[in-house]
Amino acid sequence: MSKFLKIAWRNIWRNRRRSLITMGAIVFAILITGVTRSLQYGTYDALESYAVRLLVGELQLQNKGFHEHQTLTYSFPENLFPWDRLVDEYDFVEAYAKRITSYGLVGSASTSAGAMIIGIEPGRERRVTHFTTQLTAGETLDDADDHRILLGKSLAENLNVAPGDTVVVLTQGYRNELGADSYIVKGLIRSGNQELDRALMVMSLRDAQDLFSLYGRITQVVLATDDFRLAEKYARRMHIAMDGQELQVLPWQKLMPELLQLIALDNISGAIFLLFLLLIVGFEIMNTTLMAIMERIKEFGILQSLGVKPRQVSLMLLLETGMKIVIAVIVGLLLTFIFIQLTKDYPIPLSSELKEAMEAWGFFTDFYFTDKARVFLEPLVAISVIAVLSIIYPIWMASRLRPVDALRKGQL
Amino acid sequence: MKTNLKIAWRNIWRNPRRSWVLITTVAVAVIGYVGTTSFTRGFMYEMVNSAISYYAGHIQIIPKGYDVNPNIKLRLANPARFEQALSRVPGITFAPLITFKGMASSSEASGGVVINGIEPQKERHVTILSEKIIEGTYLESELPNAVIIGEELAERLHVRLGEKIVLMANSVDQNIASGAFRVVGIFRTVSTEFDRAFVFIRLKDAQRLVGYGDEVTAFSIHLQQGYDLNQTVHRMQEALGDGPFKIQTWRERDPVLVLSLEVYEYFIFLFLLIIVTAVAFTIVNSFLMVIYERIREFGVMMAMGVLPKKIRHMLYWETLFLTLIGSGMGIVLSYLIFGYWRRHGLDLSATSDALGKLGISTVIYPEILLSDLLLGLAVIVLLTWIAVLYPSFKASRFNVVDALNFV
Repeated sequence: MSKFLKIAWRNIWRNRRRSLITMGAIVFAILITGVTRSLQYGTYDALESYAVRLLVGELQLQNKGFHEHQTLTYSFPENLFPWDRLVDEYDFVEAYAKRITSYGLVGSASTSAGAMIIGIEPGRERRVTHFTTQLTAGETLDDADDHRILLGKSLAENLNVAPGDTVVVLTQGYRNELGADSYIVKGLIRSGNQELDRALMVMSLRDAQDLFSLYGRITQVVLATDDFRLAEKYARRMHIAMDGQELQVLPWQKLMPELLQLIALDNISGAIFLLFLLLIVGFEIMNTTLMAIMERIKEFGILQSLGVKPRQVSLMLLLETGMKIVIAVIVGLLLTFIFIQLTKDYPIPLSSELKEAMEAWGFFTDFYFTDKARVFLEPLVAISVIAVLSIIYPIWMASRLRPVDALRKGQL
Repeated sequence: MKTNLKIAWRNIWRNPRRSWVLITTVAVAVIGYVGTTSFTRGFMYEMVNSAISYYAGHIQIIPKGYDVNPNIKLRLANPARFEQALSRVPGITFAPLITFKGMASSSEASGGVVINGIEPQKERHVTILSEKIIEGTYLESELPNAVIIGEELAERLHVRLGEKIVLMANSVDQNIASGAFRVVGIFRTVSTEFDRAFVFIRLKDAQRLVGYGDEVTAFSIHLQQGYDLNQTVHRMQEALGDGPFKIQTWRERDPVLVLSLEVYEYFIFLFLLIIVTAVAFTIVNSFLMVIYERIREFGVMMAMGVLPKKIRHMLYWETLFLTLIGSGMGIVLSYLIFGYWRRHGLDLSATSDALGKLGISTVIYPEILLSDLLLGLAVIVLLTWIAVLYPSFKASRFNVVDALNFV
């Protein structure tokens, strides 16, 4: 056995050029699929965490029914639970903010429009989401602000108002009371989400409670955690109940199913692309392996005439190609690792026009290569399987050689 | 020259196994390239198509200033004049539209919506909304104050077919106008955002609600396949003359769509770069291997007095033949494989909600563009030529004895 190992090892380096070409195919295949996956997952990460932390947040505490109906009937007392204790009790909770979400009609001197009205605690909100800080004009809300609001950029344009102007808001309150009040615009939000920019109106929690006659009540508590991907797991671990009233803990995956499906779509188009890439590099591996063995038919004929059994030729080839695959896979993974380590701290360069266009729409995010374990694991598995499959046929053929034919024709 | 070609051609079939390996390498590279580009085209075509097939068409005529400030006071007077002029432009269908923001409320909930007044019969020729009714009917009945709403909004407002909702909006004279409308139809498009935000009533009802006479906000224009967008805009301009209105295309109306197409295109470009790299590497690698396998053969030729230059030329011709055969095979196979999906579409309905959010239909039709194909072929021919450049140069520079002894 050790003799065969030695022969196989020597065979690899006896014809260095041939071995390097076949191993090169595998190294390259691993490197290029790894880099592709790294780019794909990196992009998804950037888009997802940006989208989650924009407005919805990672976890929300709501009364049962609010998510489905979005009406104030499903509000709950704001001191239902000592919220500060959340951060102490659950080590993964980093911050919380109370919130009211409802709808109303907002009007200026010239026109009016429907709006999504959000009442927030400005200081706390900034620690769980970032929509209140993405302003194109004016300033963000402070905890001390009274009757000051932020408007979505497009909403403000449609209403023809700028910071400093006054708008009037008309709503239906908690018990169907008519709510009406006027507010001064303090800043304009550019979230990057067209729908939000056309609908968003943000005020302090206190003002919202007055407007909706929702005294001492809120509709949601938004939480920030240490890892947004684990939100579902965290949600299952939390249990918020007091005085016989239990709150639902909803992770962003439940609050924004569209985003989850958007990710699924990205994965599908990514997978389609990967399939074509694997087709190309996989075929190359099979071709070079096949050629490298077929080139040596005469050599196998000589071996057999010297009395080496077909089984032993196969064993030798198996050891030889097996070692080549292992070496190539290791080198490929190593190169992928080095490439990603070198690039992961630098954002993927976008053309300056594209970058400007994105920023003009309020989309401030960079894309990075990621070094998640999957980036290395997936190419490792896929390419190894292809490589192993590609040696089965030529080895089987070599084992069935008749020495006379092999010697005379040098081919099958 | 002719002998060179002949020798090259015979060389290819002298060792068919080796040649087939190279031919299939090229063919698979072509299939991979065509697959990636055609699916990308399919995705992008659907993004544009979905964005304009439900609402307002490819081109709109809007009042001057309306694109900057969509105010209810801005409108197109004397719509008959527009209709007359537009009917003279070939390749288009058109429909009048009144659109304004407002609020829809039921007894349980309310929400901001975009209210649209349409003429149902004309609208049929511009958008495909009439085909998307899942419950009830399109706006055909003569009942006054009928409305069709999206499934998403119906759920949000808790209204069913036949129930009433109140639509509220600003009228031209700055009053808040409202009216009760009966839901006669519920539609479902691929976009959940559209299904939540858009409601449709008859043009006459819309005119009465906001206090218009016979004026409209805009004309939506559908461009038939095969007519050029910019050329048609030009023809419309000539037919309509000057006036307080503006002709805008979907590219101006939806800059975010244009932007997302650009971002998408950029990443596709990155991916195509990766594919091309993979193709380049596979081709160089395979040809390198094959040529080294034949060094001894070249030695024999040189020993018999063939000039190194001739050997190089022979190799170029061989490579060209192999590449052309491989590309031809790749193209035929691509048309067979992707042509099937091009006709029948590839259904991605497992993620349909997500596609809906993007405004994409759930069935993708990969599209093979001649320009993509030619570009790909040019790149592949160039790559194979570069691939043989080095080894053929090397091969022709061997000294005869070394070449004959080369293993």
